[in-house]
Amino acid sequence: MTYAPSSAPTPRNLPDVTDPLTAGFWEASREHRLVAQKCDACGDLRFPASEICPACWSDSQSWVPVAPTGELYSYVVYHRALDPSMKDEIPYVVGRVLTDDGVIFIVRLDVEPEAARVGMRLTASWNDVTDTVTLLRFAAA
Amino acid sequence: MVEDIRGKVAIVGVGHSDQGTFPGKSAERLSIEAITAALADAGLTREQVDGLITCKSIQGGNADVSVGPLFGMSPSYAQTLDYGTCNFSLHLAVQAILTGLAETIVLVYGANARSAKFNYAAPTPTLEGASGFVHIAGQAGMALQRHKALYGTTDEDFGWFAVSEREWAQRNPLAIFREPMTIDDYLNKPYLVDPLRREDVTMISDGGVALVVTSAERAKDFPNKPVYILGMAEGTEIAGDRFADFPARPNIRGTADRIWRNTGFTPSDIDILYIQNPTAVWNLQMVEHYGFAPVGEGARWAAEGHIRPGGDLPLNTNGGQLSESYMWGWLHMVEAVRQLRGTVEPDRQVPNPEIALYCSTMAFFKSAASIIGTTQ
Repeated sequence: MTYAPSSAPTPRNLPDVTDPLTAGFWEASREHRLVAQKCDACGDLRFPASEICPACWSDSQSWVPVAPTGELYSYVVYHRALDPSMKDEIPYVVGRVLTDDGVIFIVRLDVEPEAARVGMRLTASWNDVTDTVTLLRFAAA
Repeated sequence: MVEDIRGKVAIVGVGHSDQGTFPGKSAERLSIEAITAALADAGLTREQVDGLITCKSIQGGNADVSVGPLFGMSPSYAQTLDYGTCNFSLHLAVQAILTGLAETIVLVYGANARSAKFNYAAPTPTLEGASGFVHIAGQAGMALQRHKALYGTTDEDFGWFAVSEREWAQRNPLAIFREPMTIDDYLNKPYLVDPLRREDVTMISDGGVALVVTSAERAKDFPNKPVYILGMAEGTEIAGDRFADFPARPNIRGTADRIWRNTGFTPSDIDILYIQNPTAVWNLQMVEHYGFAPVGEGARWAAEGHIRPGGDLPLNTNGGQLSESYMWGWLHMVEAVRQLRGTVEPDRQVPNPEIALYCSTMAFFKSAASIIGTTQ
């Protein structure tokens, strides 16, 4: 085992974009398209992805485009880097976003802490972190 | 419908280890220290116990099969719950006793997360995790921020949950955080995860807590005044975060409705109230869901002083998890029993309480409540 020197930055936590369950979401994110998982049998629409449909137990699910707009259900502002890899990003805002198609996303907001308001209109924005990882965000509409 | 349990099972022993930081002591060892104290309180030896229910520590230890080798006995009945919060554990004990699986059961929780430096903010490899949505303060803060927007709840009012617990803790020699804190002191603290301050979030501490529970018939032979289980209810949201208002935890309202309906009690019957609280948002949500304050009014109600020493509904008279210790609500139950016995320090003792309600949750996924009292 090797140990990084203590001055080295903590590696940023990144999602596993190769997981078969979620790969379709990350592929669309790289193309800056907002998608959600939809049940081919009953139409249940959701994020995050589920291995089978929790509404009807069908195992046939597809990623479908959803409106990249919605409103802010609520938000929090991290003033301490509880995840140490994000110490250069505080204060940062995380929002619970309800899209106009009824999908819930919990993501970083491109909104100043003082400007965040419950109920504000939002539109999807994208943060290309690496060649393979693009993270969904939402910004003021 | 739970209708047949009233007064049939009683708590006859309570005990705990010291609370704080104990490097080198395992969760299981702390469990044994608590069991030793609870058995002494009940006037029992371990040979007189035929059941053991353990509650896992957050790192996954403290299962019955890992406490057992230190317990040194193999009772005929043993079970483990992942997240007992004392409530779920107590309900399991009631079921085991009423069905004859066991007669006298020790319930125990042990934890060394503080000295083990457990990471409560470990990110998941998901979009949420990569967005920095970590720690219970994140989801709890979402619920409070929404509450503030919908109902005009202010920090000046909400802060009274943490301030009131500190006032109680100052009267509790076991409590870890006892330095005075006024509402102005609270408001001058910085946000941890806005809208929550550090003072709104549980401390992390090591320790163990145990109860001895037996049938009502046997309970009369024990040295202490029995404290009977008068009602219990549970609810879940194990299907997970699939609806907008998930952070408001409507499953708690279902549990509240069931315990009032099952027992015939109403909120006005409750003399002392206990709420397991990893954050003060739990206090806010539960005083509303259980009907002590109207929805939206919980923080303003708290600011009126009902829950403080001398108030008409003392809440978390031990100091709760914000000021006493981090025992997943187990010490709340110990305190409730001691208050009902009338045996806590005089400056903390509520005058002649007869009925207590203890409410807890497993994060955002389960809820439970128990009503206990001195009269069957």
